[in-house]
Amino acid sequence: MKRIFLPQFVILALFIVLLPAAGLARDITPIVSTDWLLTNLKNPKLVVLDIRRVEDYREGHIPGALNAFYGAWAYMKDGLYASLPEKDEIDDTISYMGINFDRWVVVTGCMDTPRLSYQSARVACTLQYAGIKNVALLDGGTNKWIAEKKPLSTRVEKRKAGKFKGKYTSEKFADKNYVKERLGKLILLDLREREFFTGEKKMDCVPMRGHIPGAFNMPTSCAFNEDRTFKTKEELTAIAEAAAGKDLNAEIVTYCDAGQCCPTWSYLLTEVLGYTNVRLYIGSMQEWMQDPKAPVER
Amino acid sequence: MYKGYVVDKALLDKDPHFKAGCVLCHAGNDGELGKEKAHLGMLKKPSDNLRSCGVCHKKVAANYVKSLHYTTIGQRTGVMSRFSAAELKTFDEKVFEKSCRSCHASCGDCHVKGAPVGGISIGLVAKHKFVKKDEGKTCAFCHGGRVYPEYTGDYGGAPDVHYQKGMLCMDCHKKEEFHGDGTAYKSKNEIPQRPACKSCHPNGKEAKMETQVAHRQHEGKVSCYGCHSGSAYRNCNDCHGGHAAASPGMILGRSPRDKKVLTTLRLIPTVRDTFAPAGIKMEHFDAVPNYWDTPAHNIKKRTDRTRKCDACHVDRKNFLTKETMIKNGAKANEDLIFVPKAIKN
Repeated sequence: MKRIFLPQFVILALFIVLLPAAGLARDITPIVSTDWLLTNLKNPKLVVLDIRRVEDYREGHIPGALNAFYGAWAYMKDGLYASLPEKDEIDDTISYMGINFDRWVVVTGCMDTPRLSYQSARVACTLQYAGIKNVALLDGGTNKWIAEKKPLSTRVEKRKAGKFKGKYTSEKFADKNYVKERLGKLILLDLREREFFTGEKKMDCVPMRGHIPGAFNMPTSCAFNEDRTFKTKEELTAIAEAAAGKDLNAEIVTYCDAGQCCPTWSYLLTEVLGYTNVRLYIGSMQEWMQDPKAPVER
Repeated sequence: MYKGYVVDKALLDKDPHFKAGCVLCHAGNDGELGKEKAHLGMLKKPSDNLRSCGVCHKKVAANYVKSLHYTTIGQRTGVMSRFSAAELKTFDEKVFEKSCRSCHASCGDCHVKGAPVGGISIGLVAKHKFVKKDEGKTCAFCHGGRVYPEYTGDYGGAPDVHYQKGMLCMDCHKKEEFHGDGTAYKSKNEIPQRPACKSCHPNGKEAKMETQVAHRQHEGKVSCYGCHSGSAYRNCNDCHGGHAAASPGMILGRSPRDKKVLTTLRLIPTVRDTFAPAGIKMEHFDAVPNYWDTPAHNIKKRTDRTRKCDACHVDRKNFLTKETMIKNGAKANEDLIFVPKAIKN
């Protein structure tokens, strides 16, 4: 009896330990290179999501890429610049693209400016919020693809629309109350550039200067090389550990000015560096600073 | 100082427009080497005279001369009801020809080089290539004040669902709208080729029963925009009176063209003193409202009104009221107020 029980127990224990990892398992890496994409372009599981403007997409895009403009994933609502669409709207957008849970979705965008180059991560986070696991960012975006003279197409791609119903997670995002209630208990990462963090500068859409008390500054631009590709995992780890620490289970909330930049580090921390408890505060400083009583540090 | 060719040299052999050289359209003297003599009689914008293009594109040019983009008569039609006969005469002489008509587009403004708007031009659309269409440069440049940024979401709010699905202007607006069909229409509302939502979305084809019911119940009473306009759009609060301001807003009220229909209204930029500098008082100013029905280019499948009947029938959000109406506006504005009834259980 004992001889039978022991191997069974070991198998069961292993199953329990590995179950969460299996649930999070990816079939593609969180960041894919242009070479990898070129090799895998004909993989029937692959969907390339080009989030650039329609006008740019029509001028030339990665062959087979579907166009789903960034504005469909984050837009102004209730005075906040980059609000999350309602769940049924996200379902509509994903359905129209013919995307389902089995697909490998590679998000690519325009990297002409820092702000534009942060958009892909926001879309990736939204897809993950809807329950799609195999999401990746194209390293260097469409700019790198074009610079490398890889093939381009001007054909407007359509897929048969599906019926997608998201399995939404409440663990991806934080709202103002969530942050307020946990101040001092969580690690807050302010992902704006240093002068915005210190209050030397501010965006017009943010009512006041400064940052949320206790926040660490980890500018989004630090995640990128000059050519808008991501830094190596070792480099990203060094930056992240300096601001967020080494505890991969620590509760982290990322924020920026209006929820446009902060998804980049949120995605990298979770998907590349293995932090397990990271949330995005989409309303960010645009919302936080509207409250004259909200604590602020300069 | 010589700055090189303005035409992409690679185009010269490819495009039949260049076969007979620059002089075919631009005139001048290509036998001269000196700039002064070579440019003698040169036409900067050859298509200002439609006959230039009409040599080869006879039918298009003949139709275009009567089209609204060329005549800009829609601007006159929109405002003329406010004038007495004498005022209309003054308007035609002092305002329409000198101001409104400056907005007319010739062939080249869409197909070669962007039209100057407020003295600024985007320049050649594509290195002097004769482009069939490039909405992001041409349509967007002249209609960039409200329609285009509304459509792409750049004005705030979500982009129009059609833009999200990769559609641009000419996927709905057909070339007959721009080139004309040979009839001199007085307003865009008369054009038979205007896009209509129902051409692609006929009633009765909806996937969900509740959507079918909602469409049937509101048919003929509420325009598509009334429910599906997704967010605030640009309204011109005042203009021409020495100051101009635009603010976002969504305004729901009766259509001035069909008072039975509730629709999205836009505040137009004509105020009491708009034409005062030209000596026009607008004797019938009060006869015409300051709000006109507008095909808002920010359509969404789902809005707060499609989600909840209460948004209109209880909350009456965005509806035009006496309190929200512009001050010192036309008396006719009051006819546009619509109070939705509560739903009986």
